[in-house]
Amino acid sequence: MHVCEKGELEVKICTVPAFIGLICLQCLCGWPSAEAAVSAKNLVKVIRITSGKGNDTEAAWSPDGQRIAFQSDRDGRSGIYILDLKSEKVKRLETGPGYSQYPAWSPDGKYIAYSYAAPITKTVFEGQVTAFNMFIVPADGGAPRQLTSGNHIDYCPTFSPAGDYIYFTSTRDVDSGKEAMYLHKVPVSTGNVDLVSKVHSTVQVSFSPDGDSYTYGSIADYKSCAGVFLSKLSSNSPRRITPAEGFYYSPRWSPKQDVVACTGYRVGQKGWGIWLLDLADDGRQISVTGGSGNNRSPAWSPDGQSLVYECNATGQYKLYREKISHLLPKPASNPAGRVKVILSVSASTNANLAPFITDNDFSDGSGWYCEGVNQWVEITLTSPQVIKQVNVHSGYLGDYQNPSGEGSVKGCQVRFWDGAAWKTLAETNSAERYKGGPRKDYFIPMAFAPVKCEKLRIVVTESNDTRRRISAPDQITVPPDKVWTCIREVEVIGQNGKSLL
Amino acid sequence: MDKICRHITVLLAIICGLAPYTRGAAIMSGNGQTDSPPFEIAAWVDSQDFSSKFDTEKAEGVKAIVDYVAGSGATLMCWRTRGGSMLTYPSKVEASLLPVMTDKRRTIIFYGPYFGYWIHYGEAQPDHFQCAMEEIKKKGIKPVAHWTFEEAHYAGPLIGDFNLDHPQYWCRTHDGIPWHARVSLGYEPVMQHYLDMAMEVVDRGCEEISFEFWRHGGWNPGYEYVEPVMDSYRKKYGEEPPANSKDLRWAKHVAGYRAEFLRRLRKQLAAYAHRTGRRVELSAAIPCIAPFNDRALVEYGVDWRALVDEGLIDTLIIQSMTWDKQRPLESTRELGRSVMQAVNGRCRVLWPVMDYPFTGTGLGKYMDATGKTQHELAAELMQMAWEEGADGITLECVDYGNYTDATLRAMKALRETKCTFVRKGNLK
Repeated sequence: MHVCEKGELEVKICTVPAFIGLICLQCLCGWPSAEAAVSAKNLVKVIRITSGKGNDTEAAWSPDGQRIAFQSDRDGRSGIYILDLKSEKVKRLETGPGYSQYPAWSPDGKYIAYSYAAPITKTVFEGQVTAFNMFIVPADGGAPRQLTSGNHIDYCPTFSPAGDYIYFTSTRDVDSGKEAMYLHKVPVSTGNVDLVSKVHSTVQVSFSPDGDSYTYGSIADYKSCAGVFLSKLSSNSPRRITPAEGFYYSPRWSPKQDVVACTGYRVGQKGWGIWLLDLADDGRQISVTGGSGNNRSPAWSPDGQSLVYECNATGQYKLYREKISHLLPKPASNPAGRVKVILSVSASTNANLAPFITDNDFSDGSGWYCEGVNQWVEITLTSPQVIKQVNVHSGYLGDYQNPSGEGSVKGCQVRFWDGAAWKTLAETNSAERYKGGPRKDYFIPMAFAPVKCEKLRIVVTESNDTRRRISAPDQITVPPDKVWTCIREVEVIGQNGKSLL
Repeated sequence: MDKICRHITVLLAIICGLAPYTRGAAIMSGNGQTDSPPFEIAAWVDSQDFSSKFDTEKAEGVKAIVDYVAGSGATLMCWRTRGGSMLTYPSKVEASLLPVMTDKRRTIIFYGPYFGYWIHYGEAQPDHFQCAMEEIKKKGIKPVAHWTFEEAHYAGPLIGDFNLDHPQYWCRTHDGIPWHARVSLGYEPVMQHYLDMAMEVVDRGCEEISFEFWRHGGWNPGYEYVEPVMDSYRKKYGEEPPANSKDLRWAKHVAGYRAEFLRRLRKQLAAYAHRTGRRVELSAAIPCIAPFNDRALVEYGVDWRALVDEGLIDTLIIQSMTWDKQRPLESTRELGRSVMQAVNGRCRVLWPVMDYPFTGTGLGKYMDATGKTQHELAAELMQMAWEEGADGITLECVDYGNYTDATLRAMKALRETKCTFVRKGNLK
């Protein structure tokens, strides 16, 4: 058995028989899950690596595998600490007297990026501004350097794979009073902050090993569950990879393969747990932890064989290390399989919203809308696929269960690109929408003779609505060319009758 | 000696506990009336709505709000305990705002440079809520905790830490979709958490907790399809819970958990009163209460009749009534009277003189319907409540300048002359 812990950073490798270790573990931590524990071959290897007062959270493993950076409130305000795994010593990095959060290692292991807010010394009325900005500090200690400024909330930094940029979540470029956070980047040397993506609420980006894609957590609004999304860096076309029935966030891409570790909750669980998402198998979920307490915010070891995460089984959050190699799927033979069907989604207008129609989230408020008619969204597939039906879900959130809901589509066409021109596959102009499917909402089923295609468009030709938008002040009747129509989700049905997207 | 000291302490506590109830008596003796309680003006206060006018994070700012609101002639001041789920005091069971500003599970509302980011209660002013209770008391006004079930009223950023740390207690729809913004009272730890929060405001000096059911962040019985609530339904009725959450039996079943919360709180408060000599009352504000239908039950998950029947509340607050636009004042009188008759003296009843437009029944709508000014209508509604034997009125909410100076003066003047005491014996 490889499990035990005792006291402040006194990590012991026990050599007692496996069952004693398991009993010890279950008594102390409520771990491991019975499922994981029964197999002697796959013994869980969990070690508590921090203890003492305060909550230790947001761990990040150094690229050389020797240190863990984390955030802790053990001394009052949150600060950044480094645990040396060999000596088991913890030291606080001098990051300033305020609040330091979300440490991230540079790829060469020399720097830590973090989010920082100055101490509160006066009231808001007196002019106190509680901005969080991006800083970096040498990992061995030294003077912090400020990378961003201004009255914004900049948080959850991640270095680009090349180490030249820090990507972070920020309220920059969000209209005052709006509820959103966008992805930004700033050069590590010097330079301005750039907006990377205005995709709604992009939180905690984590790059793929090749650096061309990233994953992030996103919460559309307080009514929806957060989900983990994937996107290509070049196209910013996100795709949800976790189901709408659960709440998932804090993803970290394995440094070695197409597996994402994240925090998640599914109905029936006893709290937050760590999940692995196998990208080569359509996001198949593998449970890492179970038992008492919450398990959150996993971070990978550089060899991709272990995770470190926070757990509150003993009351406060402490960091734990777990070897998970036995849980990992075999690496996919086809790495391109991680984004299985959709290459990109674009549109004649509001192109930034178009990817939401393929996020496979039918319950959130996301979607694409257009003003007037003959506007389209275009879906490009990674390779030609045989399709035989497209289901168009439309209407504003909260009204999609209404057969003639506000903002819903009345007339539309499905077209495909035959290599030379756009050909119409199906069209409708009926106000009736079909109710059914597992979500029991209303949609327009548009069937046609099976066709092999790589690119298709959904063209809005008529709206069911006569008004401009849902919010009360603007709920005014307008001419047809000013009416807003919203497509919330599109399903593309393949030859086998299953949804491709 | 210790025993004597304890007795003296208990005696003092009882005297202090009775202090608020001597307010009416003092006024009564001045006016020579001794048989009627005072006619109450209950002003609701959300201190954050004053944040651009006063420094609400400091004691002087809190005092300035209390001074301002007292201009309405308020005899009760119902102070919000929270904005969303962010409590306006350093709670031991819920996080204050700052540590959670960048929680990865929350969206952020960014208010730009003026507000910085909301308000830092718990940092600049260590205990805003307690400070408010003390200031209100100093004015001879009854300090009341205005408790909303809102949690997500201001959307994602303010969802409570308890919620986010306990996904296993989240509410769920009939389709099994969990909702992170709400935890269900059907779970015992959630019930206990709410009770703990209630006792925190009691410890800060409130003499009444006024529960309000309109601000509840979009919750309704349709989110209560969780095991304990469904299991108890099955046990009680021998069948599966209905998929239609507006089913009256289901809605009543869900409302039963809120009644249970009040029942247990009442029991806890009784023990507290026995221990300390301080009696803390409970009131409930019910939206859309009349004309009588099932709206409060199916939309807000509260069975106000059951609360009155069981004696779980000391005061029923009519938060809103859906009056007839063709006969605004006449129909208001009829609706209010119907509530009075239903209550039949079993608890106090306060009528609304509401400014807020959310329910479409506030002063603005009366002004549209009658062409009268705000102060004329406020005075008429107040006098109407008094004529019908109500125990007072409620003002939702007193912000800076929304009730005009003329309105505040008119209400105060009425309170000091005609409507000083409850008019008894005129139920029609």
